[in-house]
Amino acid sequence: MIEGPHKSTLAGDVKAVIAGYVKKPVTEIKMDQPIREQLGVDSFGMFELTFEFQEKYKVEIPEEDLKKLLTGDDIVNWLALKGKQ
Amino acid sequence: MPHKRVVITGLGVVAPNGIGIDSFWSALEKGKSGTKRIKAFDVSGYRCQVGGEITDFDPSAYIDPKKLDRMDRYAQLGVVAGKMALTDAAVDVQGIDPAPGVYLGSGLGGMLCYERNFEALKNRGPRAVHPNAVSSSMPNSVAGQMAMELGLKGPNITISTACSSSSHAIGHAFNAIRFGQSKMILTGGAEASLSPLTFAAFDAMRVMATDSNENPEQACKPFDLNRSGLVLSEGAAMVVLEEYNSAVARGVHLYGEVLGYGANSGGYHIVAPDPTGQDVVLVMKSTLQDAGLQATDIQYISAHATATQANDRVEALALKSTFGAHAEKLAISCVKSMLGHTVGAAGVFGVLASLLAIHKGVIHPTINFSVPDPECNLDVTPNIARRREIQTAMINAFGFGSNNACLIIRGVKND
Repeated sequence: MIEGPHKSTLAGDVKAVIAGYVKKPVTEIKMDQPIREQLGVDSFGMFELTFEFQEKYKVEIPEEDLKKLLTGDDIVNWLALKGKQ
Repeated sequence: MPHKRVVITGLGVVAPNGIGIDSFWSALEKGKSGTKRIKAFDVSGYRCQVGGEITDFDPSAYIDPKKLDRMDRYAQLGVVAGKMALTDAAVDVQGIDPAPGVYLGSGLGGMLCYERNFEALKNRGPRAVHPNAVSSSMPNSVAGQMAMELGLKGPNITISTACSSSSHAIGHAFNAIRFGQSKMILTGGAEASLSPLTFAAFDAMRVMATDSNENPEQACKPFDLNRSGLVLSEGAAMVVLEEYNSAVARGVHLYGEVLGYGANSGGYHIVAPDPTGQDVVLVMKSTLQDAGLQATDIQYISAHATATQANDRVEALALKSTFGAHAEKLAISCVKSMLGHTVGAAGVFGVLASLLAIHKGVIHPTINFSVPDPECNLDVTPNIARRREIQTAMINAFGFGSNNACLIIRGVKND
């Protein structure tokens, strides 16, 4: 569940990163649906997308968490837990 | 089993002086230079500040932008040139059996990507290296991208022999078709050498022209007495090679026929040519033999002619030795005078220049020629294009690592 003003900003930023990666308008990104199936991102692409978040938020996403980050919301929640805004 | 005949049925080019074959051929005919002061990065600290930069190339006009992030610039250039060549050949590759492949030459690979990631490693540590660093910088990245983008599911082979790479690629593609292993191959070369480290590395070797930073279009002066070195360039060019009967059955236009290919090594020095030129003589003679021709059958030479003192002297010496009295009758020109040196793509640019001569009866000029060198006293078509009907051309390409490649092509009748 995404709540609060910070998460709302974070969700917008995450959505923008995903949209930039797949070269689609942000309006086409559904945050509650799996990125791979929804946007045609392959497994290698998920590594590239993860890299974008690591670069933007200066975090390291461990292997065990990587497998759990399937949707935009998953990424927002993971970043929020790390205190990112 | 008799060998198959191999013809050229499609051309594609992205060059510093022209994008697309009509624009490129027109530039060659007019003697239009593509060398300029480099804008791609800050060249103020370099001895040489001139290169063959392509400033009007928009890959997103040809390739889905989503795919561009996984391609180094050299791959973008190559994929676009390949797409143009297949379009020109008017072929649906899905209908060709066995599946057409890619034989690609690149001397450097994805150096821009490599350099960017090395900088990230140095400045921010190993975790700053991008996941696509390997797949974008490896030398066969462009061949793989061409296969995916263009649906070419046959053999996918990359040859990296420095400045002769694309000539060897064309030679091997020629062999694969004439020996019956393939029916159609997209072949050529791609290079994007205008990156800070690559440029500094060539600069450090003192092989680049440093006397023309204020007159960049005049930097490359092949066979001129005052030639001062090569001009590094980027670009890609591709040709579709096709088995003759298959091409005729498709009713496609035939640009020319590949007749012979030769390869050898001087075994002499990692970058310097053997001053006797004997290895170059041998590779030209073996190519004539492969084509079943005499020296007197050749009418035009697209010379390697890098515009270094050593290369041009040795190549001229070897031409005179190989062709004897016939050397005086040869029309010779050097496309690098306008393009600069596209490294792994250099050989295929020589093929395109030769096809201009064969196909349109125009010998393009060697520009920037003003003072003849007594040691290079051959007809190098100085400064102005010449009309001359020719049938048979030889293309030379020599690479660092002491390796040589030679191709012979000729005109073919279109019914």
